[in-house]
Amino acid sequence: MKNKKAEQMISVYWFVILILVAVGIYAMIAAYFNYPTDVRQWEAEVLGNRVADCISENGKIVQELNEEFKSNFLIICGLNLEAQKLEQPQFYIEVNFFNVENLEESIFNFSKGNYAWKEQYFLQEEGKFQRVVKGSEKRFYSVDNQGKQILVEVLTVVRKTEKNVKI
Amino acid sequence: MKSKKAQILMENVIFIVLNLIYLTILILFIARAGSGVLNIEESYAKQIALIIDSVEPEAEIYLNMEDAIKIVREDWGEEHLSEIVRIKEGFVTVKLSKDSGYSYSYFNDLKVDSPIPQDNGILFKVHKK
Repeated sequence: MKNKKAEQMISVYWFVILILVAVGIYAMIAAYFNYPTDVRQWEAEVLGNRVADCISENGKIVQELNEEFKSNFLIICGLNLEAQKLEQPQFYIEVNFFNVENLEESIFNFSKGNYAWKEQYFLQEEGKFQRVVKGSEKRFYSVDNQGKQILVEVLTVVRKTEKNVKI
Repeated sequence: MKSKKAQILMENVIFIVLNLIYLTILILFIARAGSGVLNIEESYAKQIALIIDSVEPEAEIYLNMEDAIKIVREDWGEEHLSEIVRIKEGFVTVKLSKDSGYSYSYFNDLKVDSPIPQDNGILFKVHKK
């Protein structure tokens, strides 16, 4: 009689364990698959590479660093930051050129897109707004047409929060 | 005595069978969870957008989409295979059923030919605008 009761208790506990395991697995799967895949980090990296490739080829700066390049940068480099036709572009690109003898002051620079995303990106370093934007920073050396060594810094930031983060 | 033994055996068999059914349902649920149409559409739309962003003009790209094509063949019909991927005006749209679809934008300003469905994937070419 005692044995029978013990068996019944075990089977009750067994079903409780089974239900707990099922609920746990369901919760984990729901948590994983309900979140969109965040590809913004890769997007920022690819955008950074594309900008770098457009500016420099085989270690030489291939663009004339002048006002015309600054204003037509997107067309010259074959980039379209406004495909989404939203009020604000979802990207930010900033390029700074430094003479290696003076890394304090850039000799040429330009930026495209929404400046607010740059601010958001640097706020992340302080641990704030971690999911709003993703970005990439690149630095490389190149030689201009006069043979001077130039340090190029490329910052790219992607927002696209709605498509990549569960809000 | 014999019937007591038979009863214990029966109880154990039922217990094991119920456990096996439970495990099978759990495994099927896990296996199906990741293969939902919406997840696949999102995954391919983002993947194709990243591919377009990375390629140089005049590239020809083949992408294996075996799982997506299988879903369309089974649920939507062979005649809709050409509608799986649409690339237009900076957007990639992947559609695997009549009532679903997912779009993602790309920034590389290239002209992309309409994707051609292959046996297990799609083929598309990109050109300079």
